[in-house]
Amino acid sequence: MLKKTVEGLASWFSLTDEQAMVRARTAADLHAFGLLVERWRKRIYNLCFRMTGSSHTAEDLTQEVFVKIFDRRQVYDPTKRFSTWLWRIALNLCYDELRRVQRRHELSLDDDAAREGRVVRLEAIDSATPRAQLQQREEAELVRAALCELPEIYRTVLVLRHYENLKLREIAQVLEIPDGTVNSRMAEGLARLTELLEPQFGNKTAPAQRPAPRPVNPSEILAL
Amino acid sequence: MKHPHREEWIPYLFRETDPETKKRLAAHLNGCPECAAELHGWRMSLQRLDAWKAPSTPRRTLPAFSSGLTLAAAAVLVLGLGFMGGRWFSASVDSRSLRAGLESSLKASLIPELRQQVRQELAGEIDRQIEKSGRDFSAALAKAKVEAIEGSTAETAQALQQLIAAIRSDRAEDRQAAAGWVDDLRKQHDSDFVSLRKDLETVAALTDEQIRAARMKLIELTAVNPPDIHP
Repeated sequence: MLKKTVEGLASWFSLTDEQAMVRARTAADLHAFGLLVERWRKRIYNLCFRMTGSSHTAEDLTQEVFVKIFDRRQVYDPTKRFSTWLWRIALNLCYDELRRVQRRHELSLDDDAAREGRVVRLEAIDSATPRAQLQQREEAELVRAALCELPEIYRTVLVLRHYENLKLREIAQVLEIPDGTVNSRMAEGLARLTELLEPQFGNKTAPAQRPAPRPVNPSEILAL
Repeated sequence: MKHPHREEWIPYLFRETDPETKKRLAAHLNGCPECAAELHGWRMSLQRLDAWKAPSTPRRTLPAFSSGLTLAAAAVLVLGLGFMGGRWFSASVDSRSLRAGLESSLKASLIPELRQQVRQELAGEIDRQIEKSGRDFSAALAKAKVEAIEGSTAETAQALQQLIAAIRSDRAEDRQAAAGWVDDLRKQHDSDFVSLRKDLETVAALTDEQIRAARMKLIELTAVNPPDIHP
């Protein structure tokens, strides 16, 4: 609690991302850059993890992202948002990595990542019963496989919106596409994801927190 | 029933639509089980995405981009606020001990930071010196190169002049020798011509003499045997 309060107070007086990046650019200020790394490391790691489905690759990519940001600090435009630039660089590196994997025919999304996924979920699950753990593990694997099966353009908008909590307009800025394109990609991505997940989850025992199956009462949907 | 475009549901689904559109879509949804079912499916899929958790923290640490400055600033801020608060609310506080405590705390928080900064400045200074030495060396090298080029240019010019002089001298000698050969040839030609003319004149004289002798013999023969002239 005290730590959070101190961090909250410190954040009032600390640099914005853009200010820190300008300092890193003009004076090669490692402290300012360290601040950016500390702020964004976890989110960039999560993005890389969701996009590649592999924690090891995500670690490498996260490091690569910040090295690239530092190397390219001179081309950063301080009039633009730092986060937009950062997301874009991270995504491009993810795309490069996915294409490299595809070229090598290394289907890490099916094999290596599946093994890692199990490890990841074991780390994430702590207090559930063995049966619940098993069920969560299976569900996580289904979700991971379904997301990785989606084409990159749909996976990207889903990951940025759902996991990284970016607004639809921010996604459009990061991807440099119109708002309408974001919406259409999201709709198509959700439709495909539903097609992939529905049969899988439909054949399994419904989790306790799962809402009632169809037919749907429209009034439930309205309760947004 | 005319359904809204599928894309229109996206801002609605993520609560990013304007109130008017939200009202319109909600009204449609209330009377359209088909769209409601599709939206419900999407919502379920989004909920299911939460089943896939990310690891809590990356296992490896990133290169040493420390955020110590922020922590130090936070420490200074908290200590400063504490100090001011103490001064405000409690006049009986021992200012010396408070100051000593503050100093030690500040030292503890700032010394590693300062050490790091000094280290970086030293590294920067070393880099600058290395760079300066490199620049000086490059300048000296360039100068030496220019001098060498200039020197070698002068030497080359001198050698060229000598070569030109030698070539000219050789050419003059060759011309002289050629002129001598031409004179010799002309003399030889003249003497050959004179000799040939003499030979020709001798042959001509002898031939003339022989013709004259032959004519005399013919006359004599004609006188001894006169020709038989028919009337």
